[in-house]
Amino acid sequence: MISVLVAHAKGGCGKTTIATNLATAFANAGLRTGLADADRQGSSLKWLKLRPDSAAPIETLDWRKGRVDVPKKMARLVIDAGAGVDSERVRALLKDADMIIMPVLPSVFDEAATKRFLKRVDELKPVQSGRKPVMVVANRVRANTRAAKELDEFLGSLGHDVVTRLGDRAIYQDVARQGLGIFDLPPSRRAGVINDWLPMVRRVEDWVVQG
Amino acid sequence: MPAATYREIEIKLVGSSRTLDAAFGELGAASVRSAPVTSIYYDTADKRLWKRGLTLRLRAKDGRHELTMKRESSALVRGEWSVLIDDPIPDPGALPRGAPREEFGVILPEELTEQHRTVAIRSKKVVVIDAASFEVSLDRGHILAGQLSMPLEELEIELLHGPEDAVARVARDLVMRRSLRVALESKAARGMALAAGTVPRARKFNRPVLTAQDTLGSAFQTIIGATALQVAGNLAAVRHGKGPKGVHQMRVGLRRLRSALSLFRKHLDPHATGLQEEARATLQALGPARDLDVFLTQMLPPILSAHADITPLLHLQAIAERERAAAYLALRRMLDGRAFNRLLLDLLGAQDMRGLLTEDAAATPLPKVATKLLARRHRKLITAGQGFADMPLEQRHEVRIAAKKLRYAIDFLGGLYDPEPMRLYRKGMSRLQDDLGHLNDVAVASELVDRLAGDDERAQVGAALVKGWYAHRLAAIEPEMVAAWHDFAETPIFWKPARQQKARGKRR
Repeated sequence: MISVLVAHAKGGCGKTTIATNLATAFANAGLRTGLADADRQGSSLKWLKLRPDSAAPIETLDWRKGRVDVPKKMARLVIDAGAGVDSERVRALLKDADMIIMPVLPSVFDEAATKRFLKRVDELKPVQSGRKPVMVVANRVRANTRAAKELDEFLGSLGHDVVTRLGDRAIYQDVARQGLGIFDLPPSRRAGVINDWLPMVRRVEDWVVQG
Repeated sequence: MPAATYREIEIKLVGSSRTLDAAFGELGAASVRSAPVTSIYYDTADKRLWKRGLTLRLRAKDGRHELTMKRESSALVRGEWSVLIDDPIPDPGALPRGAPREEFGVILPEELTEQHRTVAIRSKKVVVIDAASFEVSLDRGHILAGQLSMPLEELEIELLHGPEDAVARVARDLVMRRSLRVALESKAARGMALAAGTVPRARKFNRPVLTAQDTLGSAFQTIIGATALQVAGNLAAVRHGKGPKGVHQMRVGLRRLRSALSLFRKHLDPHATGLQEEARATLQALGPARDLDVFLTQMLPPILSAHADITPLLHLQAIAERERAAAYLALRRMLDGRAFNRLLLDLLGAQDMRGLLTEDAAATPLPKVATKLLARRHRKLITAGQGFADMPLEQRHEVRIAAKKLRYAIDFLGGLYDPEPMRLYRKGMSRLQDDLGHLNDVAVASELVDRLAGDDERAQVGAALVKGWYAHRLAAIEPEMVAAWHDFAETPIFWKPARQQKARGKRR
């Protein structure tokens, strides 16, 4: 099983967007996929409830009140850590995960929180030893903009690269309203965003499948 | 549906156009449908599927599109997972349950590009032979990769319904009557090689995985199957004739096959001797090419780089190269011939090798017999090696052969035992075998150079140089070889003598 923890200390930076869309990538590849929601707000759970029966199945794991066992034959697990997690909570959730995806926004208001959170996560033993990577994903940002450049410099100063940048696109809201992700769409309808996602999907897959 | 149902059993035959037409006609009267078929093969830029031995193909079918994943194999049985889809999108996610997804994970259609395609006219019919039904297809066309192209012409016989060995039986019949040979390389493999400009690779032996739950019958089946794949898997490399590895590995495969048959000989049905004979004849036919390969690639180069006046050696080398070209030509003819193709079909087609064993033997639990078999091979080697330090060279060759037999038996059965002592034992054997192998190479080369030189005086000088060089080398490694033997003879065996095993069982 490959398991991904999506986490950041702040809310509204796109954890649920990444968690739900990543889950649809796994599910549409025909892999048995679970989405665990550890967020008090339960945004991922709400999305799962909207998900139509005709879509590739994603199994719900409600972790709001604590960890629930993952079925043995699960092939991929996405954990939505929710807002306001501290490093203790991340440490606990990381036991179930092979890596952390951390979405960040190109906003100066977020820098302090990002810096603090990243520093604590980097100190966790499995992260420090390199066993479990932290992948930073820049959300709602376009390449070659000033904001993107500043974000790169900021993250660079913290010793991290951006795995990929997700553009600020209406499609994410459109599909989320129907309980879908972009990977539920045929290639022709996701052509504008797929290249934003490929680097992340490959990093996640290759970390375990090839390693 | 269980995963086991996702497989195809198929044989491809090639030959002249006329022979293929005749064979196609002979396979039975049925209505023939001819239609153009284009199959497009996809992979990621870094060949993620191909590296895992998988291929993905898309072709139009009945107004829709058929997406098929296959597992590459030299065996007649291959994993195959197919699905009909509306749009021509190569999405591995659309494959049916049972497809080996865990092996490649997420591969998005956007990551896949065409690697190559086959464009052919396919004539197809369904025939029934001896209560088994087959789809018989005659393909004529090309494999295309970018600007590159290679012709494609082959007869495919695929089992639709009936006993698993029926395909091999039908193919065997055809091969005995007509000049046809078995083609083991898939279209996918040929296309990938065309696109990448690579030559077929030699294949090493995959040690079979046996457990204490195996019976003699199931173990025999697995072992023979593994040797068969080593023989068949090197066919393309040998035919291609670039580099010595293919011939070498095919010979090793045949040796292992013979060794397996001889290891189990007490339990074999008398009709298994046919297979033993066929394997021996093929092995012999591969001999001259191998001897010349060893001479030209291993024995001669160090002398060439050490000697000042190499004219006689170069002369000898030129003769050897001519001979090698002739040997490979003869080899290819042998591979096209009836005897070899029959052997290939016997090996690959026998879905149930257990038929070669006597009935009692097949059901015997493996562990008990395995220990006895290893002990027997070991005893023979120790006996052959008595007085190793002082024995004449010819006798050492007997030791070499006995060592090889034990080594193969360990490769077959070693998995039943504690891995660490087994590994150490094999390692100790390797040293001895390397030295003994060198001894043999020298003996073979000495005979070879005399024969190559014949009456040619200049070449005779070269031959003398070669023999002198290696006589000296042998003398130099002699103390090492004797030491290797003694070390080996004292290495504790990793299997337990049968008596001890029983006693231990009682104490528990």
